[in-house]
Amino acid sequence: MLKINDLNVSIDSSSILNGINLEISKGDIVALLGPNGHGKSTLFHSIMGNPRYVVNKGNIIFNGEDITKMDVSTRSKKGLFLAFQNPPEISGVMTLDFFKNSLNSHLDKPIKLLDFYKKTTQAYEDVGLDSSFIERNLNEGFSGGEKKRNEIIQLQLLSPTLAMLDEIDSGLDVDALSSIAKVINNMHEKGTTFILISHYDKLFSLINPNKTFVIINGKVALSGDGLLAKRISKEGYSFIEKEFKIKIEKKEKQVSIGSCGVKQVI
Amino acid sequence: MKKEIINIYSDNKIKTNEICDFCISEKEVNSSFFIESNKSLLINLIDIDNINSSINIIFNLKNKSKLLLNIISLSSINNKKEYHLSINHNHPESYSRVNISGINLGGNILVDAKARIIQGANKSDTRIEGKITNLSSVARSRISPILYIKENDVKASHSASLGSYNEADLFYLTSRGLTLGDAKKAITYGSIYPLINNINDTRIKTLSLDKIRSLSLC
Ligand SMILES: Nc1ncnc2c1ncn2[C@@H]1O[C@H](COP(=O)(O)OP(=O)(O)OP(=O)(O)O)[C@@H](O)[C@H]1O
Ligand SMILES: [Mg+2]
Repeated sequence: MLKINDLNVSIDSSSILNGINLEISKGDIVALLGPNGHGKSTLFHSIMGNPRYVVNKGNIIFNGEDITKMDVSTRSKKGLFLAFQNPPEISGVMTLDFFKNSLNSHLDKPIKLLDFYKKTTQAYEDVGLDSSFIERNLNEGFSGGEKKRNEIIQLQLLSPTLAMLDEIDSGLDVDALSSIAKVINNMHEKGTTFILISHYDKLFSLINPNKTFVIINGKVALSGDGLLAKRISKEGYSFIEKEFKIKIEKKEKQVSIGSCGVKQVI
Repeated sequence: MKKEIINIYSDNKIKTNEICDFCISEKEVNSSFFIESNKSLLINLIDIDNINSSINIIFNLKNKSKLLLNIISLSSINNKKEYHLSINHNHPESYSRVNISGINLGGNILVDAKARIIQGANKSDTRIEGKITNLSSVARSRISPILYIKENDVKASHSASLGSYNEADLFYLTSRGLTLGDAKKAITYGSIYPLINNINDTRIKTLSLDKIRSLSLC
């Protein structure tokens, strides 16, 4: 379903991904792990087509089609979805209008109002968010956990074939985490493939990954089955250095996509 | 008593609470508004025609008077639109809110907004807010909000932001299926819509909405 060949990506001319190779099949639940600042979010943004991330070499094949140069909205329509590590707050854009527009962009005919209402009401209920949030500006003033829930609502509305969830568990309370795990497991049963980034073992005890990729220094340094993810999220990365002789460079974290909350004003 | 007609092109005394919408159609506006005690004035100034304009307005506020001024500015290529606003809080407990929202397609939008609170005008409250989105590399915009405060017991603040689209916002919206043009529209429309929604005159409101909607932002 997804095949990435020798992907090299840079941001503002500093290179972040240095030859990523991986393959994901339909129905997989993939755990994408790696220490802070080693390129996990960068990989997600590159797959989704963020224009800030320049692909210098390599390609991304999705369902047999080379999407490396495809624009972002087309990738979304082809069935890709990225739940952001830090969803931006967009003032002036009402959630309701945005949900309707994004849903309609995936449909041939605009959705009927009643169907839209039913769909959104259900999605809000599933993540335990009051449906009055739909009248607020997109993510504006939302708490960390509310933003994550809002991402899952959109995941449900758009029902992609491949969903990439970037630290969807960070900031969620225990109850929210289990409702969201339920949504993910349900969607997986219905055919959605998932790639999950998480630093905590709780998520991987609620959702069982069958594959693990570990990104270190902008490369897939190690891969394995679901047990690898469980071991790393319990023990950390030091055993990798010892057992597999992989050197983990300490990253001085400057800017992470995770800290893009600040508005860029020129 | 015959109601005086408020005119954006001359001097006005505001003796009753007033709400007015003005569509700028002439090059130059030089006027002043004296707002009497306990009275309020809400002005929506819509400057979206393809003309150069120079808007110079002075507002004088008495005891417990209130001014709400909203300006919507759309500058087409080569337009030069200038706004010089003076808001004078001359008496206690006077209140003002100025909100400027602009879209610059490639001309000039220059805003000078000065709020003065003189000594003795205690408990006065002023805020100037401005936001201009530049949509081309030749667009030039400037907002200079200036506060002169001579009294301690007051509230005064301003915020100004200029810029083009935030890339992270655009990426987020397009990642959910919106085209780049639609994403830009959603953001632009969203920043200006609250002000348009405030317009009371339905003809001016429809006109403004149509104009903003018809912009092509690709
Ligand atoms: N917009 C950017 N500008 C400059 N550098 C960036 C930018 N985004 C990411 N980087 C850098 O790229 C590297 C990888 O960042 P990335 O966000 O992909 O890490 P990550 O593995 O997701 O980390 P975390 O677990 O902390 O979320 C980091 O060193 C980061 O500082
Ligand atoms: Mg990250």
